[in-house]
Amino acid sequence: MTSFIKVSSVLKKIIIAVTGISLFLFLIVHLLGNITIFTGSPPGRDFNAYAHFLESFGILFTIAELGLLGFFGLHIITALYTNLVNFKSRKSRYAVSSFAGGKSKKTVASTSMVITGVVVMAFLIWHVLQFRLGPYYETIYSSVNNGEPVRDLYRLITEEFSSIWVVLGYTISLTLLSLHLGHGFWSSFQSLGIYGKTFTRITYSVSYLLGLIISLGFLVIPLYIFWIN
Amino acid sequence: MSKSINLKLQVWRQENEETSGDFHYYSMNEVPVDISFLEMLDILNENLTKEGVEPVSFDSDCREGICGTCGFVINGIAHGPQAKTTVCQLHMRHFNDGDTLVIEPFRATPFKIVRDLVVDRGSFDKIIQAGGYVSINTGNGPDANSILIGKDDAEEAFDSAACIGCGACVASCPNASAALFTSAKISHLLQLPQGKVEERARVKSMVDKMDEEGFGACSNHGECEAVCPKGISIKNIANMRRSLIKSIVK
Ligand code: HEM
Ligand code: SF4
Ligand code: FES
Repeated sequence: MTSFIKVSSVLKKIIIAVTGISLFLFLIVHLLGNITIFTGSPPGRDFNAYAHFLESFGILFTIAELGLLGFFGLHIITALYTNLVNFKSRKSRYAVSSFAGGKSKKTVASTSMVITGVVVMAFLIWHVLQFRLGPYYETIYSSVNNGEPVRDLYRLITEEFSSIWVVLGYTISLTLLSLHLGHGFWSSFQSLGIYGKTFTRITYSVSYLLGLIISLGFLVIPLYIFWIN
Repeated sequence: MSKSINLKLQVWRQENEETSGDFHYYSMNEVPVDISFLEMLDILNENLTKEGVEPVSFDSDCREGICGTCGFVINGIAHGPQAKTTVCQLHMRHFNDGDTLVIEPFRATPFKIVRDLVVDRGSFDKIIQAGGYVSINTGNGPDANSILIGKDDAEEAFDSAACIGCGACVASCPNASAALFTSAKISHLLQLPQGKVEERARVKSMVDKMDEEGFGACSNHGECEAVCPKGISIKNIANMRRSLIKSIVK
């Protein structure tokens, strides 16, 4: 533990950035996989087939899941520890604080990374309990798994997303996630020392848009399922 | 007769680091708009002295925007509302009649309050002592131009060297991080052949010192660049990070 604390603040940010951008890539893959919710007949066939395809990797799938968990853990611990130090760096607070504007990239999103992060963490725990570790329904498709039973995740999501409270919880969490990604995307390049006049201008100007697109992409699912029910 | 404005000042007053401070309220009438912010405080202090009140302490030296001695926070912005300007070069024409100005010292745990608006920025000296120099083992300094440096490199290094060490970057950073200051010093030397030699040892020890002094980590808010009187770019922070990665990998 002491050796972790001794890692310099710059290196800690590099850890946050590497894990953050990896989680970002994971979100994109996850989102692309979710497109299967909208295809196939009967509804849910493609989605359940995709989930079954992933699980069929067996031990490799478990390793990937544990790796993902590790990245989350590293990201969260390093980010929370760093922000604890940051908090202590100004013991007496300003009476007035402001936004300087101009070249500043300080935003509501950049100053609330801990808050959006912690809400996203709570959301992720809920999300995993709801689906990955949720009730196990089975179904049979003649064209999937040689006609043997597969997990019916589609039934689970239709059940869960029929509740307005669940949909509301997802809406709030995903909105906060969009802010987290909005500052996080461009920031991770800067944390890794990747700066260029044009490069930084471009990554910064698409950052918040990307965050919004990813969040909206995920949000379409609960809204769609709620709508068709 | 030039224009003048009336102001309400809310100034942080604190005896020393041990005591707790609070705001004092002063009215300033008919402040000429052509004077600088520090000259306005000079007038305030003259008035206070006449009333038998202890004048407000603040730092200044050159009053030309080149030494880095002055600095405090006006309405939540270090060095006030005018970009690329120290408070000594900030003129009252940037304010409006009837404005209330909240004036606070640069706040950061490593910057101990000496009195009122004066803070001890000795931590910056310690960061410089940790590696912000080029070692010359013996003899005279080398002749000028004995090492040729391309124009672009010289310009880049000079941009970084423009930092006057005022501390506004720390003051404006939500994390009170000294990343802009430290990285400007590191980048300045890094971009010159003389400084390349000790690059790895320098970046490591300056970054460690920055942490040890109790500054926060950089979250890339970029508020520092916006308030920096010399417009030091966060590009320097990226340079510092790359340099640190290099020092670990190689
Ligand atoms: C979906 C999952 C997440 C993704 C894709 C993600 C992505 C990112 C990215 C890209 C950054 C910027 C890294 C940098 O500038 O170096 C970041 C920063 C941060 N993340 Fe996350 N994150 C996620 C979840 C979380 C969670 C669960 C927490 C929980 C506390 C968290 C806390 C933080 C904090 C506090 C920062 C800012 C660190 C700083 O002060 O600079 N993140 N995140
Ligand atoms: S980087 Fe700018 S704000 Fe920071 S100490 Fe140097 S001149 Fe002042
Ligand atoms: S007094 Fe020298 S920079 Fe302001």
